[in-house]
Amino acid sequence: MAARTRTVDRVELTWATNLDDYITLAAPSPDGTLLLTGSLSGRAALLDTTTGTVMAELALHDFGVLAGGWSHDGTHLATTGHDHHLRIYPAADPTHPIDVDLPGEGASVAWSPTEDLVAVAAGRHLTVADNTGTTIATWGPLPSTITAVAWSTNGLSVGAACYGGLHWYRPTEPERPEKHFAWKGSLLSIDPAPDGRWVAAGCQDAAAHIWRLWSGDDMQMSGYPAKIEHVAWHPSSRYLAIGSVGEITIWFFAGRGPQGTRPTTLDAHTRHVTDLAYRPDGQRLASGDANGDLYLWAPPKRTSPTSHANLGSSVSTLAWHPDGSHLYAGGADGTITAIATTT
Amino acid sequence: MNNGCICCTVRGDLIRILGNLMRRRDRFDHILIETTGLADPAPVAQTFFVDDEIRSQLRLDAIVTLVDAKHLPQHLDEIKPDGVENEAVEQVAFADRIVMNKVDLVTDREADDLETRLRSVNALAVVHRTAYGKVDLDAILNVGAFDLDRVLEMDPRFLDDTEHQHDQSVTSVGIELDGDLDPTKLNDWLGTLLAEHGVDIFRMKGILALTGDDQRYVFQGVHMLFDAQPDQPWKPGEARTNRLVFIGRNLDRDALTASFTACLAD
Repeated sequence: MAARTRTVDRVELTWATNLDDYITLAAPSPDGTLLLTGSLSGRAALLDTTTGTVMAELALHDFGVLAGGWSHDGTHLATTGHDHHLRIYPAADPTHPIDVDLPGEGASVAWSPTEDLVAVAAGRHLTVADNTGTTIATWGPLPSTITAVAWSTNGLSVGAACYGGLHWYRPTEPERPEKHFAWKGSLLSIDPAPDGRWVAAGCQDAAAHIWRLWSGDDMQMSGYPAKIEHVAWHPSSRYLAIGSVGEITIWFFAGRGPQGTRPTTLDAHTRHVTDLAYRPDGQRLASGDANGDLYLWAPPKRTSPTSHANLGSSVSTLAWHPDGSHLYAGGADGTITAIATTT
Repeated sequence: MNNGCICCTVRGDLIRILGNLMRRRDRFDHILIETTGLADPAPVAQTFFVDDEIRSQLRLDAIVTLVDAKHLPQHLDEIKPDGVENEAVEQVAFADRIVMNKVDLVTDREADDLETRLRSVNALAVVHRTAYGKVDLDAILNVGAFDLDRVLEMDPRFLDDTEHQHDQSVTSVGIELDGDLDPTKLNDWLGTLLAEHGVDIFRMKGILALTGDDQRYVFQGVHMLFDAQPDQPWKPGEARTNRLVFIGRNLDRDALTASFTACLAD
């Protein structure tokens, strides 16, 4: 039974901007001034985070934008999509992108947390380029299309999720053999814990799979009613949130890990949880679902939502402003909504 | 499904592509999936059974197999190494519609022989003879072959033994059985059957009468995955006849019939 919402947080819609089609990308710049956005219309744009005004239209990706992001220092940004192109922009002048041809459609982008290197999933290949568009390394073909890429928190390794497990590579040592975290199944996401101890992946077979990064030892959280597309680590790495149909579970990862423990269950959604995002201070978890319902939570202390809003369209992506003051929600109807939260 | 056979371990590529298509504002009326000539149809069909998101937005209409009337016989006869499937036979076995093309290159007798052979592998598929690929699109699109209510339209002639040849490893087996089934026995039987022989059972369809239940149950499946639901009530005076059909490899008609008969309520 769904938990009753007792409003603790005040939420207020600040602005809404429409980008024509299903929103696939909403990423605030590290300084919080701009929001990098993209949609399946192919349109990519930079919005002012305070007003939602389009500050710059970026180059179209034919057939749709699928991913994008900012470099760690905010000096560069990148977008990719169905058109087999990666576009890298200097943030100071986002009018002349550097175009990188990819061997497949660009499904996922991740910038290194320590250097101006960007990794992109390109079909069954993983490519790493620098901010001039020069390819540093390419690996593949992997056993199937790569669904997601991520860097280890120390920036030394980049990982790719696909059918059959996670594949890790070192861009500075491209000849070094890959490290393979095997799992017989389709992995849909890859999320390293901020402290670098764990890496989690959502799975098609209604489970989340977690590995210890240093040893490759693994565990599985199974028994969910449907595939797991998104997981989210608490900034402290003490908790992992897993979203499925109608519920979110919070697993405790401090100490020896969650084995033998019971998760905290957050029960309010009525449909598939489509995205999860912890606020940067870790005090709130935002979750959105296919029904357009958006909830804020304060787990593990509270298991009922602290606030609720319905956006009128399936929530496709969530991202917090770096200072935690606003939540940005993309929708299937093409709208990006900025929501101010006061706790 | 974890650590199950490969056909039950869902590959994500097709789900991801279909998911992306369904997110577009200009959603599609129909999606045609053209596999390579060597593809195993099972994982493609299973995609529509196992993923909730896909299942809620799309329905599998039919598996259409295009065959070359001139050259198919040699592929059906091809001896494969141990452990390697004969893809031509599998693709015929999985089909709901078979477009037998290039009949202009063979005699009527050769076409008849081939059609008989196709029916011996797959007694349920409808065969359309064509030249130059000219086929009425209504015959192969929007046919609803996977709709459960279409199971009720199964042609009873598939149960006619005389149409079947038993000297092939891939065949159709139809079973007709009067009487009410014990749901517990039926569940146990299906569970065991699919666990032990699911890899060999390509397609199955059925209409069942369960004891104490006024409604008919219809089901169909691909390998270990199946969909079942209650259908309309049995009509007054209508014989409560269970009908099952299997298409698959190394099917033992006598064993299937005996074990299914054992599911009858006491």
